[in-house]
Amino acid sequence: MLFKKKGKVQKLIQEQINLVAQGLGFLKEAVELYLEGDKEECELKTRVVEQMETKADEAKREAEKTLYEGMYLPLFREDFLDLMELIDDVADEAERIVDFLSIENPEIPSPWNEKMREIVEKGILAFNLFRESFMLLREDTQKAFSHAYKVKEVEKEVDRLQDGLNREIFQSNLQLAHKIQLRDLVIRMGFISDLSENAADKISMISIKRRI
Amino acid sequence: MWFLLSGIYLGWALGANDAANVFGTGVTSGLVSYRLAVILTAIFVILGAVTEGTKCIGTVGYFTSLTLFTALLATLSAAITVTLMTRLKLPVSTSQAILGAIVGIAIVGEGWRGLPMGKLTKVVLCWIFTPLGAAVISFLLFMGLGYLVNRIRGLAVFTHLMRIGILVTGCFGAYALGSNNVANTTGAFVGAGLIAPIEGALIGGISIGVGAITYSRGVMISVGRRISLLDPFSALVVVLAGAITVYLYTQIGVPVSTSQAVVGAVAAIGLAKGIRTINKKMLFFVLLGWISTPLLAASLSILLLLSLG
Repeated sequence: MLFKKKGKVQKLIQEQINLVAQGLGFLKEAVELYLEGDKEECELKTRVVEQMETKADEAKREAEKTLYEGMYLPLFREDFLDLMELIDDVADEAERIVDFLSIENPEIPSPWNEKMREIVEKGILAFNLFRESFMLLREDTQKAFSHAYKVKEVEKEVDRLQDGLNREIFQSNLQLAHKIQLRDLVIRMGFISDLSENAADKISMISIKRRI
Repeated sequence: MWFLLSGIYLGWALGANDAANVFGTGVTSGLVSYRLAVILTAIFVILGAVTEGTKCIGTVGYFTSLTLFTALLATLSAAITVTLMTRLKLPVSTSQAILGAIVGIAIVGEGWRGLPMGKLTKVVLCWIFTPLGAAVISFLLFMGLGYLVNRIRGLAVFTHLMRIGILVTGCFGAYALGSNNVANTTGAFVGAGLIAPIEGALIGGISIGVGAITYSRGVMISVGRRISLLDPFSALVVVLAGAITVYLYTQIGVPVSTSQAVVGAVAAIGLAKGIRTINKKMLFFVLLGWISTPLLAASLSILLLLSLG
């Protein structure tokens, strides 16, 4: 009974992570459609991203409830609660990006399409690396720790891409309002890797705490 | 048989206070439910008392020659001491209370010169070495088991292991508690010839078990929270080291304090990890308990014997 409940928590967190990863997949498709100019299809994908966020939220709530029932070592309980919040932040951010595109409908000059795509893809890569480190946590905390570090490297790359793109945006001849709008979008897209890094840091923390 | 009530009360108080030392961590962390913890405590205390409790009963019962009346006074003095010190929130050891009270009886009956100095020296040395011995065992366990546990890489296996460990060490702790401390409750009456050693072990064991089941929640939560400040592995080592220490003293027939063993074990964890786990106030309280408990119990038994006898 005790072990079943603990297994249930891990399964629910894994489910939350998988749903967020799926949501990020749809985010990528939505951005791609937007950049290709297919705004109608992009709207449909926006709804799917929102649905995935809601489902991930439900999985998180279920996991929290099980965790609050006290079936985990207290040393890790708080960390797992924090981790679920951090994963939720990633899902929220994915939703904000598609909403941004849907509501503000920014005009993106085509030369920047590739860099926008790259920022989103690297963000998803960062989250997937975090996902792998979470899966490793169960079997090998040291490997999980090393794997979590890889997220940092990807996040740095995204930072570089973001800075370069924002520099290009502000050196262009666009209106200031347009520049600011595009900068906001770029920053939002960069948040995916930032937040994935925060979640990966929590994995590192759990791995360190596990050492005696 | 109503004489036994004072011993039963002492056993009840002991169970209410000391169950915390074996399952406090498990309960406060939510790994073991309070109900399961107290049921396991009761079962293993009785098992320890019946299986090995007679080893210490001899020391308490035959420390000096006791009559039914002096056995009652000794147990009553110990019970009053334990209640009073618990009320004053001072650390108290039932082992020190009952032996202090019996020494008081011996002083009145046979004078200072009549005291069994050999037995007394052995007991006092054991009390001093309880926290020290627990500290050494705790340090060795922390290093040895720590090396093995560090080789376990997965969080899932580690968590399972800690959970099973807390249950197993808790049961062993309860067994050690029963085997060692049951003498404090009915030992004097065995010495007075009222009951046989095995009857004393059974009655004492049941009274400790009932104390754990009916009144241990408060202490369990406060002690558990204090130990739970340690990481789960360190907390497990503390409970295990305390249990081993107390169990070893059972083998040489000396009732000791489980709480003092836990303090020694916690201090050693601090030493092993290079952190401060015990403060001066805590040490002062342990020393205060060492001195005040037997002195108060002895004074009470002398007073009662002189006024009633």
